[in-house]
Amino acid sequence: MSQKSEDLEKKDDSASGRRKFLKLGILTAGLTIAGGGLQKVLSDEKDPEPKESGTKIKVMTPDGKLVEVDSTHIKEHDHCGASRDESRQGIPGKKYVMVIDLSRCKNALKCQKSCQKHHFLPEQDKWLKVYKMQDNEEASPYWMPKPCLHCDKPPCVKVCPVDATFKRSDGLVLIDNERCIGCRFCMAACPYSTRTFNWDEPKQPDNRACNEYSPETSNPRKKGTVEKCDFCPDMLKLGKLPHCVTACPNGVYYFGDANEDSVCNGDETVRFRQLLKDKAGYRYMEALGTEPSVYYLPASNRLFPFKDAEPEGEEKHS
Amino acid sequence: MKEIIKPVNEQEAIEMLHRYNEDLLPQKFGMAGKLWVTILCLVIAIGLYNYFWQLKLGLTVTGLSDTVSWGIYISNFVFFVAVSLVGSLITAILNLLNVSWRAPITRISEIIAVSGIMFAGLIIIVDMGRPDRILNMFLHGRIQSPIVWDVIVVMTYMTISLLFLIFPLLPGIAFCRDRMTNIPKWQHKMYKILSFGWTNKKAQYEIVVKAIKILSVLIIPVALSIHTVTSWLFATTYRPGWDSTNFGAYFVAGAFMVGAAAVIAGMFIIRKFYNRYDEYITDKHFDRMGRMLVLLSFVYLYFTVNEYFIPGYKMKGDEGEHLKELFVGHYAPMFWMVQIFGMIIPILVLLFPKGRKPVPIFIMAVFVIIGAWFKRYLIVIPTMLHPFLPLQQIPEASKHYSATFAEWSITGASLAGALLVITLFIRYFPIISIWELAEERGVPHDTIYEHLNEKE
Amino acid sequence: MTTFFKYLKSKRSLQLMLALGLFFFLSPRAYADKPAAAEKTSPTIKLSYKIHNGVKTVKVAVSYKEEKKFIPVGNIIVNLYLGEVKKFDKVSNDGWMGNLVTDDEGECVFMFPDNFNTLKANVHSFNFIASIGSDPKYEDTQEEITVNDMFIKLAFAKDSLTTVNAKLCKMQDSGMVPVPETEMKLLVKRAFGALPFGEDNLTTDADGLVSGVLPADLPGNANKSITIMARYEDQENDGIVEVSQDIPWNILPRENKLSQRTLWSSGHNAPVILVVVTVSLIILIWGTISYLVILLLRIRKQR
Repeated sequence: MSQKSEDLEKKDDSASGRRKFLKLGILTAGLTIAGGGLQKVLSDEKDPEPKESGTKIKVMTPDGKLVEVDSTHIKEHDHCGASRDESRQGIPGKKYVMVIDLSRCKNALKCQKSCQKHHFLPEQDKWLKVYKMQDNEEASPYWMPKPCLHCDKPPCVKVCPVDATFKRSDGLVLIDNERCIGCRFCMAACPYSTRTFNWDEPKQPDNRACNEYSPETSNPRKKGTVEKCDFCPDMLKLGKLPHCVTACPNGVYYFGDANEDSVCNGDETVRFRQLLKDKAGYRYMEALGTEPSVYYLPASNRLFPFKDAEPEGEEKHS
Repeated sequence: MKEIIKPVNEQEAIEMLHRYNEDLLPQKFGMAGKLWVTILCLVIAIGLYNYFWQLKLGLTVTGLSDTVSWGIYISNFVFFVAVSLVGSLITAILNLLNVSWRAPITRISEIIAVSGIMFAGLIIIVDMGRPDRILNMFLHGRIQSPIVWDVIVVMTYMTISLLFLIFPLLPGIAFCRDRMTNIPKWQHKMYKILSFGWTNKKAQYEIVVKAIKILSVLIIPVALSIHTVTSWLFATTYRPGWDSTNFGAYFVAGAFMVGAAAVIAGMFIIRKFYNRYDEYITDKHFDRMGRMLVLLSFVYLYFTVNEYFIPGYKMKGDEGEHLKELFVGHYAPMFWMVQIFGMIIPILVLLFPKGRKPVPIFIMAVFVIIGAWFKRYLIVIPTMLHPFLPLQQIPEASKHYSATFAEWSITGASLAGALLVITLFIRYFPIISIWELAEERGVPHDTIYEHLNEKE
Repeated sequence: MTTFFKYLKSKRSLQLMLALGLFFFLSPRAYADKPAAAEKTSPTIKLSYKIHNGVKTVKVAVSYKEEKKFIPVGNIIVNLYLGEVKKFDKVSNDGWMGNLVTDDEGECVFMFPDNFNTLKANVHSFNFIASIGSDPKYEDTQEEITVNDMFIKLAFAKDSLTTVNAKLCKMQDSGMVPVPETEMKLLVKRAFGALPFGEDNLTTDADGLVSGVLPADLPGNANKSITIMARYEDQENDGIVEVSQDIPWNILPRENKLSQRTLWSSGHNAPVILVVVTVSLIILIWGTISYLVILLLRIRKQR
C-alpha cells in the first residue's frame, strides 16, 4: 500500500509538481484495480464490445477498513451476511445509535416500504411501524416511527432460553433463526411490540441473490421462529446506512456511531450529543430502564402539518 | 356412615386387613368405565389429528397472532401446573402435620399431581414454534431465562412426585403381583417390575417410611417453586397485568385452591363408581376437605383483592386500561363469572356444614376447577391484548384473539389425556393405600408386615 | 384441385417451404416479436464526476421513469468514453475507457487507473461520455459530462487548537490558479457521511483559501488520528473535488462498556451469583433425589 502511494506521488510530482499535499487515504487500495477497462485496452486492442467487466466494489471490513473485492465475491457476501457464529460478533469499536426526528415525519412510509422490500417481508409482517400517537386529549397527534429499539439492557435477550437472540458489542440485538425454538417469550417480554413471528412457512422470493441464512440479513426467513428489525447489519458492514434511513425523503432518521459522536441522515452529518441537547432528545419509556439505542426528538416545530389520512398506496385492511 | 372402630385384638386387626384387601383391589371397568375411556380416547385422537396438522402447517392453525402470541396453550399449561401442586398439599403437608384422616386421599392427590405435571410438560412443547429444536434447551440453555428455570423445576417436581407416588405404592403393587390371578401376562410383569422386589419385610417398610419423611420435606419447596417460577414467566415482563410483585404468592394460592377442588372431585367420582368405597372415603373426608377449600379460597380472595382492586384504586395508565377491560370491558362477563362462580359462591356454600356434604361440595369443586381454568385464560390473554404501544399497522385479525377449533381440540386432548392417566391408574393400581389406611385405623405395624399379603 | 395435391406430393422441397411458411404464419411468436422490439424502454443516465485525493471516478446511475418515479436499472452494460465515442486511440490515449455493469441500485463507478493522471497531465478539461447500446430491453442512450481539472491542497496547523486550511486551485495551461469566492466545505470523516466543521458557508478568499478550527472535543479514530476532508462541489462544471488526510488526534472514540456477566449475556456469561445459587440448589435437590432412588433400589436387597 505504501509502495503504491509513493509511486503515485512520484508520478504526480513529475507531471505537475503539485501533489505534495496529497496523502492517500482510504481509497488507496481501490487504486490498484481501478479502471480495468483502460488497462485492458492499453495492453491489447480489442473492439469495445460489451464483455465481462472486472467490476470492483469497495467493502468495509469489520475493523473499518475499506478493501476492494471482485464483484463476483461481493454478490455472495453482500447479500448473504456473515455466518451464524460470526454474526454474534459486533463491528469492533462501534456503538450504533439512531435518532428519530418526530418533527419531520409525515407518515410517508417510504422507510417501511424499503424495509419490507429489502427483507422480503409480506404485507402483514412489519418490522418498522409508524404509529399515530396522541399523548392526551389536548395534545396534538404526531407520527412515531418505531423500529427495534436495540436496547442496551434488552428484556427480550434476558428471557431467551437458548441464546437465540443476542446483544452484540456494537449495540445490535439480532436473532439466530436457526436456533430459535419459537417459545415467543421474547415477544411477551418486549415492551415495544417489536417482534413478529412466522406462524406459517414464510413465502420466499425466488430471485434472491443468496439462499444461505445469516442473522445479519435475517433471511431466508424461517417458519416457527421470531424475527424483528435488525438495523441492517449487512449494510453497516459495507459502511452504508440502514434501508429505512436512506429511504426516508424527509431526513427523519439519523443513524451513526455514538462512540465517535456523529449521526447521519443520508444528507447531513451532525454531532450526536449536540443534536440531542439542542432538540431535547429523549428515549421512549425511559422509566423501564431498558436503555434503548433509539432516541427521539420531540414533534415540535413540525415540518409538515399533521394529516390524519391513510398514506398513498397503503392498503386498507377490512 | 359407619363408625370407625379400632381393632381390639390381633384377630380383629387381621380381619380388618383382609376386608380392606378384598375391597380395595383394583377392579375391572364396568360399562360406564369403558364408555368413559372410549370418550377420552376419542377426544385425544381428535387432538392428535389436529396437532399433526399444526406440526405440518405451523402455529398458523391457532388463533394466535403477533399481538396475542400466547394463548390457551399457555393458560392451560398454567392450569396444569396449578392442579399438580395438590400432590404436595395433601400428602406432604397433611403428613407433616400428622393429620389423622389423610390416608384414603393421599394417593388420589398424588396421581392428580403426577398426571398434571406430565401434561404441563407436554402442552408447553405443543406451544413451541419449533418443537424439533427442543434439544437446544440443553445444548444452549441460558440460566438467566425463567423458561430454563421452569424446565428445571418441572422436571424436578415430576421426578419427586413420581417417587412420592411409588414409595407408598410398593406394598400395593406387590399385593397385586402376588394376589391377582386371572390377569394378562403383561399386567403381571408390570407389577413385578414396579414392585421393586417388595417382599413385605419390616426393613422394607422402614425404608419406605424414611423415604416418605424425606419426600414430605423435599416436595414442599419444589412444589412451591414450580408455581412461583411459572408466575415469573409473566412477572419478569413489563406488561400491564403481569408486572406484579404479588404474582408468585397469588399463583401459589390459586394453585392450592384448584388442587384441593380437584382432589374433592376425584374423591367423589371414585366413591361413586367403586362399591363400598364410602367406608373409606367418608363424609368426614368431604367435610374436612371442604373446610380446607374454604380456607384456601379465602386466601385466594385476599390475594385477588390485592392483585386487582388495589391497582384498580390507582388506575395507573396502561394498567388502568387493562383493568377497565376486565372490570367493565370486553372481558367483564368472564371476569365476574370467574370471581362469583369460581370463588364467592363456593366460599358461601362451603361455610355451612350442609354445603360440605358430598354432592354440594362436588358441585362447588367443579365450579372452582372450571373457574380456575378461565381465571388462567384471563391472566394470559387480556394482558397480551394491551401492549404499551397502540394496536396499529397490524392485520385486523391481530387485534383480537379467539382460539380456533384446532387449539381447543389440542387443549381438550391434553385435559382428556390427564384424565385418562388418572383413570388407568385407578384401573390398575389400588387407589387407596391399604397399609397406610390400616396404620391410620390402628392396626399394629407388625400385623401389617405379617398379614398384609395374605388371603382370607 | 386434386392435381395440385398430386403435384405437391411429387415436389418435396415445395412441400417443405409451404409447411415452413404456414408455421411462421400461424406461430404466435412471429407476431409477438415485432411489438416487443418497438416497446424498448428509454433509460435515463446520470453522470457524476468525483476526484478524491487525485483519484478520478465517474459514477453512472441508470434509471427509467414510470409513473413519476425513477426505477433503477440494474445489470445493464454501460460503456464509458473519453472525448468522443470511438475506439481507443493509442497515440492520443483517447477513446473507449471500459465498461461496467450496474448493480441493483442501477449504479456503477468507473475508477481511473493511477497512470491516467500521468497520461493526461496536459489536459485540463475532460469530457466523459457514458453510453448504453444494443440492449434488448432498453433504447440506445448516451449522456456526457465535461469537467475542469480542479484540486485542493489541505494543510493543518496545531497549537492549542487545530486549524485546517484548504486551498482550491484550478489547473490551466499557464499552471495552477487559485479559485476565489467559492464555497467549500471542511469535514471530518465519520462512519456514515462526513461531519462539517468551521463556520457556516465557508468561502474561499482571494488566494483560494478557507480555514476552520477542528472542534477540540471531537472523538477521532481508534489509532489516535482523525480524517479531515476538504470538499468543493459543482456538479455542473467541476463535479466533486475532495481531499482527505489523516492527522494525529488525541481524542479517542468512546469505548463500549462491555459488561461481561449480565442477565442479557450468553449462557456462559451468566452472573456468578445466579450460577452459584442455581447450581447449589440443583445439587442439593438432585442429590437428595439420587439418595431416594438408591433407597428405592435397596428395597430388593432387604431380607
